[in-house]
Amino acid sequence: MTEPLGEIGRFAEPSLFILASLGEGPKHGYAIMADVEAISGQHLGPGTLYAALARLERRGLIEALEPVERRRPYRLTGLGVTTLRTQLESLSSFTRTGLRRLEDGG
Amino acid sequence: MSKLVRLYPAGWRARYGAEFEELLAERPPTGRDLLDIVVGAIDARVSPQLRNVPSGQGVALTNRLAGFAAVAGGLTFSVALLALLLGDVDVTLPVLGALGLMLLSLPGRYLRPYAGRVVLAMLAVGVCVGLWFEGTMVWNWVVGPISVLTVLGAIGPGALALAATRAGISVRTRWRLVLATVPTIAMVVLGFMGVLDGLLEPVVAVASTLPLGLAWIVAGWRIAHAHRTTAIAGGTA
Repeated sequence: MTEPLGEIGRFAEPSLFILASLGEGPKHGYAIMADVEAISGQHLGPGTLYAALARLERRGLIEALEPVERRRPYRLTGLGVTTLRTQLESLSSFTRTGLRRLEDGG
Repeated sequence: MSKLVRLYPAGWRARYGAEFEELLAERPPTGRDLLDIVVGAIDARVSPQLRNVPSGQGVALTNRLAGFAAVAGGLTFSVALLALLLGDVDVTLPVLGALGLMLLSLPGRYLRPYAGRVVLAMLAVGVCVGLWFEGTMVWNWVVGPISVLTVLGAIGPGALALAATRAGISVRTRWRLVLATVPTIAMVVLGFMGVLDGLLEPVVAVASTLPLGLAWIVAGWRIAHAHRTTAIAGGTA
């Protein structure tokens, strides 16, 4: 069973980026911001980052680890992994369909 | 603690404050980031983001009572409005009682820090309506369905939206609840503009205000039902 990101409202996109960033392993806030900008090209502000982190944590998609020198890493939970995989597979299918239609129509 | 972090509520600061400060130290905020932080602080004050919000069975019971109070207020309000259609029935007291239940139940439970400001806003709107309709007899604002409906129309939708947000009702349901309040707002605005003169028959008033009462019933039921599961499990909300 997955947790629909749409219920997070306007934080759905940042949440997806954060989940994808954590897909390769635990990260703290600054590392998440830098990684999201690198993989998506989109700037993630600190306010948006922590609003999304709080929502993801509340929904059990991520969990906080013990802080290291005031930096607290986060990692995906099992539910987070499942949710991320479902969301990415859905987007992948949509992307393939869209590209195929462009080729067929062009 | 930096001034930026102090914009956030105390509970949020206790949970995220240290790491947030560390982030700001590592990556000094730009102008755009400053705006993002201010918006985030407003969001943190309005939305229930903290996972470990102190919530045991006692708090869940309070949430359920608030939910049931909202349902009772919405039902009383809706029945009183429908009674208007039956003829010359004085529904002022039932509507006033419903108004109190509706504005103090969910908003009172979830907007307690702002309760004083909500009451002042209600009084201000009521006094303005009293001056508008009664001239200098401002104490007459407490009677008369027009004054009551105006207060509800002016304050109710915002209070319902904020309470639904704080209670964690889903985004989709929140939008539906807010849309249900639009006819009431429209009636209040058009009434003051004089567009509805002669048309503000009980049918129009009831048809445009009834959705507000129904929205309160739905919101109250959702919250009471959600916390029924929590209360039984004895776990956190």
